Amino acid sequence: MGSAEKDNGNILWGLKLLAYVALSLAAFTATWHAASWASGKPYLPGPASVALKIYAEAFQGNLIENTVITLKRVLTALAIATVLGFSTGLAAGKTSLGSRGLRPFILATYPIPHATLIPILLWILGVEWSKIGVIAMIIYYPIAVSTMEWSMRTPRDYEDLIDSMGGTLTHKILYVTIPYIIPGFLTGLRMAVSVAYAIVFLAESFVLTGGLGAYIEESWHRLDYEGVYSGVVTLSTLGVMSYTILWLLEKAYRSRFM
Amino acid sequence: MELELDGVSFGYKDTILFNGLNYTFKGPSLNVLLGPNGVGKTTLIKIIAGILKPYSGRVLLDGKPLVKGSAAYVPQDNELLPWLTVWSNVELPLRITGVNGDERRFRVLEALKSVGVPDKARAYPKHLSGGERKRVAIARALASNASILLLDEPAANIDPGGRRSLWRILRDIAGGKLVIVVTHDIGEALMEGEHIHVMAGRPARIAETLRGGEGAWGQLKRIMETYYGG
Repeated sequence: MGSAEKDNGNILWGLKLLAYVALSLAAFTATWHAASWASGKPYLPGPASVALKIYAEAFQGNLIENTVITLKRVLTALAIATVLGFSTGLAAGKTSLGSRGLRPFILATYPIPHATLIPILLWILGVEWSKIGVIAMIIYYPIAVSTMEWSMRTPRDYEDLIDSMGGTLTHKILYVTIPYIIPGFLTGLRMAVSVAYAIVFLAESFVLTGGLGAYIEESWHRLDYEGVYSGVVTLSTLGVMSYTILWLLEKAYRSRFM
Repeated sequence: MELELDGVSFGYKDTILFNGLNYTFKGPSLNVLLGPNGVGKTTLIKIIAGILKPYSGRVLLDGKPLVKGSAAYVPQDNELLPWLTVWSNVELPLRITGVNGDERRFRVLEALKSVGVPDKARAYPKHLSGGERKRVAIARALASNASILLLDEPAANIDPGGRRSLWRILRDIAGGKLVIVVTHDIGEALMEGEHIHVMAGRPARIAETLRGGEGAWGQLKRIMETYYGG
């Protein structure tokens, strides 16, 4: 396939995707509107009133401020979990010491319900870092496990090539393992991001020091229904956007190299 | 140039593939390793490439232990790293051995020219045909200055035209290097190889060596009957 044909194919694919997203969004909004209209309950406001609330809160209220706080927490936790998850996953998958020590540790501690550690982390890390800590702890696992599993599946042929060139373990990791596991790592990161936005709500509503979780919780206590929905919609939008960006990155990497 | 297998022993689990194998390949020349499935052809070239370590015995080049990097290996599949461009793939052994930038550029370009794919330098492997991928893998071996070139089923999944041109390139290279090719295709081996080494038995040995070329065609039936059971 020529490059012009390929570009056209990509544009067509992008337009189709946009159309599907727009259709899904329209269907979702229509269902929501119908449900709100049919129930007539104040706790189920329609999408239009929630959109107006978001607009008003963005310019006059503190929605943007809280969104920034939440984003900072999620991104910091994501950075910590990525560095730790990627390095320990790699060590567990590619080194004999890691495979004996780290691998059983990661697999054994994965099923622990880490969200229950929030009160303990509050004592150890303080209010702000306990929120970041619990998010990082939970999203560490999908990143570490997917990195570990993909690094264990690295095709032997590629490693043999480096071996025959006189390369060391570092060369193998640099030229083979890391590029090979990037799609798996991105899948793990994508799963982690979805979980991160759920956990940030838990962490922020536990002790209210700003963020969308606190915003939702405070609105809930005030029976500000539109406020609750504004927070939920904003948090969901962040989640969907992060997920989509990572999915597109993964897709681009796979289609370029694999 | 003499590549000597000196008492090489190797096996997997309960299977002994080689037990004190002694054999010498003389180069520069184009050698083909033939033999039934599972006899140990790929294992043998992996031992020569330094990928597998024999339980005992040594691989010597002109009397001295063969050092890694002296024998370039081209596997049957996954011969190129898909996330590197053609240029970077060819450059890889030079980067690993610390060759400086100017020399690297010169050697990569020369190698790509010599196998006829300099225009593919910026392409990624997935955009190359099977034949082009093999040529690039051979270019990588040429750029590395390895004195031995080991190829596992290089002509598999390549169209007849591509196969002919691949063998032509290998014959040219064999003018200055020791080339060892593993293949299942007896006819192709007899026609294209300079020396044909037939592996057989368990533990395996080089059961027979014959000269390739047009005259070797008469041996096809006998080789089939003797080593392939029919």
